[in-house]
Amino acid sequence: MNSKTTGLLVIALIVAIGLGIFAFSDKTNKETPPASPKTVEVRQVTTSYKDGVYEQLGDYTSPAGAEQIDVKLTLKNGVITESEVTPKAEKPISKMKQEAFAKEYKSSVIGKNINDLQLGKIAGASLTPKGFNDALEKIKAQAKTV
Amino acid sequence: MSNTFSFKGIGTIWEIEIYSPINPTQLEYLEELIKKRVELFEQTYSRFRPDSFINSALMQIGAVKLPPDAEKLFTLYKELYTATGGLFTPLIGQVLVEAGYDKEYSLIPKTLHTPPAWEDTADLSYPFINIKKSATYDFGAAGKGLLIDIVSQIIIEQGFPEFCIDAGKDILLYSSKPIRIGLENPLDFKEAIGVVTLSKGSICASAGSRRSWGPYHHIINPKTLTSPNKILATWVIAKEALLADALSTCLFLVPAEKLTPYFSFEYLTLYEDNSIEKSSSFSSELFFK
Repeated sequence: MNSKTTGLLVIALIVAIGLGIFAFSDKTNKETPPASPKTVEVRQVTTSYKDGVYEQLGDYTSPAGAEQIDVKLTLKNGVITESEVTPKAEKPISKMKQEAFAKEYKSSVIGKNINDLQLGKIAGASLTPKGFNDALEKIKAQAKTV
Repeated sequence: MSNTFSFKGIGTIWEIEIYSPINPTQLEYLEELIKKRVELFEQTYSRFRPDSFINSALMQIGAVKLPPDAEKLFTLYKELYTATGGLFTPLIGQVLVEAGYDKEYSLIPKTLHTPPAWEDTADLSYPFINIKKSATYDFGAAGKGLLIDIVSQIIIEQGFPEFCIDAGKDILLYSSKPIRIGLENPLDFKEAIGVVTLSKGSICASAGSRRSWGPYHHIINPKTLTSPNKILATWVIAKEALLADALSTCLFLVPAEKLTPYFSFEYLTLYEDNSIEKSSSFSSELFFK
């Protein structure tokens, strides 16, 4: 394992520790969310890491014993472009907690202005038949006059 | 010197760029060839033309000889019909008409009826189809993809191996250098949710957001008779546009696992909560929150 992946293992462990705290937390205290893992990662990865996909198993101890969680990160130009958490726990409560965490963790995308992206082409479905558009306009006009 | 041309056909805008060296006369000739072929295709497959092949020949009981370009289309439709348990079907035509997506674009929904099973309607034995029961066919979920592939063959046959075909933002690319392709945000067309880099192959998208009216959009599940509303958009990368186009609709109807064993493709599905699901090799730069 090179030093770069070791660096990321540390990050993966931070994610796992966040989860560990979550798993430890009392049921009555369940509204306390785990520390946002994504924020932690972005702050950590400031130096030059090699582009690629890194995957590590994070270890932590739950009240029920040792557990693992799989963390996968994709790095590009020192920025995490993608991340995925896969539950590995087998003990029922840990499994439930990890699954809830992974679901919450699911990546959400946002839009960026096309003009800022230097694109050759756009793949999408916004161009629609003229007939359809005309019909929609007619319906809109009718709706206005009613 | 120009190496591009643009025209309207099958209800969309085509933009064709030839990367291989081409002179103005060759370009003009190529444009004419392609326009004629697109017109022939529309005469054959358009559900919106009363005199089209599918609105005339396929409406009569008995054996019909299919046109030469129908083999790939019908074969793929049949394969996908099986893989999706009948959810991807050309017999959705009647349902679309009932929902208001008809020749006049009335967009006034009436009562929807479950379409017949394909095997009860017709037997396919290419080049023949034996129509047992008259039905309204719609090949809109893959027809554009097939036409893109047909157009690409014309360009290659004319001696231009490098080009880009963009038919309403469904793309087929044959290029020696990679092109950055933005994944259009279905909720805001000024934006992209990511970028794909492609040099050879096709990327096609489907979205419910644009062609929608009332509770419906252009994809309707033939079993539930509703338009899937958990998915905002899908993108599929495949070698051919026919497959990419068809699968982008299939992903609205079935989970990707139903399709991956039988077809070679990469995909990205965008859900209504902006979360995504994608195949492991859908190589893209995505913009995350």
